[in-house]
Amino acid sequence: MSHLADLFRLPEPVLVTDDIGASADFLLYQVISAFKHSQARCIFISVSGDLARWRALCSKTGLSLDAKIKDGSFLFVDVSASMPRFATSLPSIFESTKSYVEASFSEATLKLVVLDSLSTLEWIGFSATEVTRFARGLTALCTKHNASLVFRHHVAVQDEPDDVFRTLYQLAAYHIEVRSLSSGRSGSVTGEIAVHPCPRLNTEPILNIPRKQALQYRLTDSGATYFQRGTGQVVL
Amino acid sequence: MSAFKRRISSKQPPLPVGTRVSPASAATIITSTGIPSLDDVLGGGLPLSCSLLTLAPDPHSAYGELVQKYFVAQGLASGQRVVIVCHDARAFALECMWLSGPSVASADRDEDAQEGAGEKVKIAWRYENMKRVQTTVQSPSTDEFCRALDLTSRIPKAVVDDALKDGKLLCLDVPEMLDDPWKSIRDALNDADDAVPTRVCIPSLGAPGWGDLRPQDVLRLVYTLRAFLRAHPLACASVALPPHISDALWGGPGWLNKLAWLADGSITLTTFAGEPTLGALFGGAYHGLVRVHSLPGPHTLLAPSDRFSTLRGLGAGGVGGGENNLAFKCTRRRLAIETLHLDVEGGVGERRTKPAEGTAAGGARTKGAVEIVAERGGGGGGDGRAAVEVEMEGAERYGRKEMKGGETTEGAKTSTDRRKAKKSVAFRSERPDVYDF
Repeated sequence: MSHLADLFRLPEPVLVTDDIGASADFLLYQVISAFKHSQARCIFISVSGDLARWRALCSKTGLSLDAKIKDGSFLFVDVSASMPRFATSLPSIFESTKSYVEASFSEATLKLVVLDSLSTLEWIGFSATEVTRFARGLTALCTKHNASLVFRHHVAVQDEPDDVFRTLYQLAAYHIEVRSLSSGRSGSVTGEIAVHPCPRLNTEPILNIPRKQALQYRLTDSGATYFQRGTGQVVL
Repeated sequence: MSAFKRRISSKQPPLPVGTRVSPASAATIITSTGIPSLDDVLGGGLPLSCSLLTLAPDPHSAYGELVQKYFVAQGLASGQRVVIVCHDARAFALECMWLSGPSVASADRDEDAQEGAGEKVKIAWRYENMKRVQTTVQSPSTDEFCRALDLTSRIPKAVVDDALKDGKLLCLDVPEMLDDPWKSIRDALNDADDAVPTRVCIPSLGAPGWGDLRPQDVLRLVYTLRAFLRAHPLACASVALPPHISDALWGGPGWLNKLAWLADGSITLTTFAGEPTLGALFGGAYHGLVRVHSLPGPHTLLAPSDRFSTLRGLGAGGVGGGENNLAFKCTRRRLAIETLHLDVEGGVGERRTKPAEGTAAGGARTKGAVEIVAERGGGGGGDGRAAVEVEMEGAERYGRKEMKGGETTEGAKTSTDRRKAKKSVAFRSERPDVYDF
């Protein structure tokens, strides 16, 4: 899965979608835990506000988020903390992100912004225009500073893309699609991953996994195990 | 026996009352919902700092409220703080079930014994010692983590009054300000500085008393409640939505998925009231189906339920298997979630020993395919005769028998008689499938 990890190091936006049966948390965990380098800088904008969870997950790989937050190389932005000031929260979050990026990203070798998740913002009352404007602003900011950007977007209805998804698809260079199995939950296969190059990509894609050849994975305590279809523990 | 022993530090602080450490992570503290089988589905119990959403779309029953009453009763029985948010919360608390007394417990055992005696059947010696199939999980009645609550017992008024007086039970009216709806709970929790877990129970979020809520208002309430719980690691919440909001179409496409994303755990209890055929199919063994949308995992990638739930069957015991279908049953004494099975007769009430109507060639149809090739006009069949070819799976191919004027010849008839229809036992369902044994 080195190729999949490589996608998150590109200075291009990457869109990650998931559904309720197969959460893409393990991919975000993989992204964050790869940023152990001392010269790495990361901003995690979390709409679900689960710092305790990410702290517990990262501690399993020896990454201390508290230490990273303390030395300023990791910034955790909790969107839910600003909920009472609902109307002004997105512009203020963008401003805080921008100031951190301008202050910290210039000397860093690895730069990453993670936004988790845009669909939740829309569901709790932000208009699609506000959400897409926020995403565009982040994209422009990351492009300007040559930083990686990861959007996570929950899919409420399979195969029926919403307006925010359409915009993100245009903004992103790659779309990583995490889907649950159509046959339901299973103990040996948690879900499958497909990677699609987006229209914005001008170069040859470094990774292209169509749905028909989707890679399957099984979640464990420490991450995910990937395997090709038909080569799982039960099949072989 | 392994020589390894788990090192337990004596310096560990004692766990809060009515809780235990999750088997999945030492950082996760879980508490019981009051229903042992629901605890199993959640992976041992509801983790503190997490929310559970119960949807019950049937307007003619109140299983969502029943789950909330279990949640409240369990909290009061184990000495935790309980916050109920609804109109007339005290009346709601007084309607809760309570612990079964010794007399009730013995009566329960007698009843079970009588039921067992009534079901006594002669079992072949080789199967007699086999373990009986367990469709649900039960908690020992002496367990402090999950108390044995009995639906035939009502919570004593003195218990509720004492809890109100001691601050163990807080009855809050529905919030008026939706911008910061949980302010009253936050204030109440900030006043209490002891390390007692707090259960927030919202029996009917979005009921008419909450005003005219839009889907995004409901979603925001669920979302802000979860954010509130994250800031209070000793609090957990159980929320039920009224039937009309629990409907999958109420909030537009993907409504249930949106709710499931914004709550830590989400289940739907769908009764058979809207589907009478399902009730007949399962012979009244269940009252409805349980659908699990999302499950809490506050410190792990994999939800603890996936590893430790016996009922869901995805853990170590069920490697490679799919998730079990779940159903619920409400008896006179308890509500339980069970694995869903067809009843003894395969889900139909009628048993028959003769071929199904419309089955051709005397039961041969159930074994193989009957192919009739009519050759009319031209070729060899120009004289009005039709060639009949009977093909059976696993049997030799019959030769062509001549048919004249639509009647079979003697040879063909003899052949059919010789292959006398095999008596088969089959069950007929609403669908045209025939299951042979």
